Amino acid sequence: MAATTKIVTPYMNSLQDLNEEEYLRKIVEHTIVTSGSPVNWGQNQSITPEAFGLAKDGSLGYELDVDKVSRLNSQNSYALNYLEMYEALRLEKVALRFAFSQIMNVSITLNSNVTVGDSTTYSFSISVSRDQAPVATSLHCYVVANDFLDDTRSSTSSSGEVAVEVEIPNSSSGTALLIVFARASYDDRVTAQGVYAFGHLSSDPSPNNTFLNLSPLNNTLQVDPKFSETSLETGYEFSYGYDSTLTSTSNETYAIPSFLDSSPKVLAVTGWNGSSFFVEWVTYPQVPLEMGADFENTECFSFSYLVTIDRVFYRLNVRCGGPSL
Amino acid sequence: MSFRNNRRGQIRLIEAFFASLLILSTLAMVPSRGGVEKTHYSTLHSVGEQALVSLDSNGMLSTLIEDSDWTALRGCAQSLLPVSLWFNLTVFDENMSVLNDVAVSNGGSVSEEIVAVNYVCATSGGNYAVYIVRLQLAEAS
Repeated sequence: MAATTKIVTPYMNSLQDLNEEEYLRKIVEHTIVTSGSPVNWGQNQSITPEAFGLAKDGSLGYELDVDKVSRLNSQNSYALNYLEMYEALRLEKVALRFAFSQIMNVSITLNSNVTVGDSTTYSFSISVSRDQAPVATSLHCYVVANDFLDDTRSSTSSSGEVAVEVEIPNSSSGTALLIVFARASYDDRVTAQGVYAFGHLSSDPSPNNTFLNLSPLNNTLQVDPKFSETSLETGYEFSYGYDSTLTSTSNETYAIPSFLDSSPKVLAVTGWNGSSFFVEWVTYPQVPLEMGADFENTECFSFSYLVTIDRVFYRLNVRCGGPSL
Repeated sequence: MSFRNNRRGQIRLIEAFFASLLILSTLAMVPSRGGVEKTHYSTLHSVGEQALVSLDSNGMLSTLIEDSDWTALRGCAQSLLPVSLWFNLTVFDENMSVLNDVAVSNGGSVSEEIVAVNYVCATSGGNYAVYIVRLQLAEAS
């Protein structure tokens, strides 16, 4: 009897694992294909959802709401905490961790800079990859500096790499940003962005979010300065196809215009902290992000999804632990 | 005395014991693969289904089929599916006649297990054509 039990146990365990995996998969899919309650919990910053769901209201199949996703990012002032999400899930003994990432990785490296006359030319190498494999893409690059904005177009070859040069007037010294959008040739929805901050005739810039806390939600950018001597100058919105200056709706909020192309949005705000010029930025939706239970050194199930947010493809990985794990 | 001489029952008992031992040891040696296989199937099937649903979410899939743009269809599938997967996509009309005259595949060698996902897609144009898209997926070996 003992021998029989010992032999049969692995079979029973594998069946139990299978049942639990399917059970957890259904739970995860439920959070992706339903929009939660109330359905506008993403847009309305004062609402904590009663039922958790990330889908865009009225969407068909794996289309998520840009604001619901942004509210999972802890850097957003209106982010849900894990307890709020857990209560809205209405489940016991199930832990989840959501990780959103772009479908392509855009990597930027500053190679050199040369000052000639009144301007400095910076040379960058840009590489675009997907799952570590190089991707041929079209690029649209923007440069933001002190009282300066420029753009250039290029493309990566099948090696996924290209060198790009940008020229900035020496009068625009201080922190500068290179914003790169990469788009695959066959489908506009396969678009990703990368941002690189560098010091233009100045020391290396402070890390992003040193001076400001930027929280995009409901097509409004909330800007919270972290120091009393910080003053804001200009807000910008960038996508693959378009760029625009943001219109200030109050001292610390900007309206975010809706662009008609399938692209992640990068929002940049320039300003001064005392005598130091800075540029800080945030993406909309605020991806990449990770939110949820900590599964480090813990056994869990992992489910991967291809989702669209604001007509752009993203990867979503959900790690999930159930009652028996 | 007759009880002592009748030992045939004991032999049967020993025989049954060894037989059961044989059965149990055979069972123990069979690897528990059922769960693993089914999980692998679920993962590939789910990946394929999502890729097709996502590709079709803005009507792009049916547009590419209508235009017989098989190169673009292969590029789209390649952009959405994990690099580690082999795929082969076949498009049928409502009579199950194959429409793509070139292979819509990323080539290469594959593992033994191939999972097929069937997806019905309708055009948004005036002819209301219906296509059956079969996406075969496997781990690249």
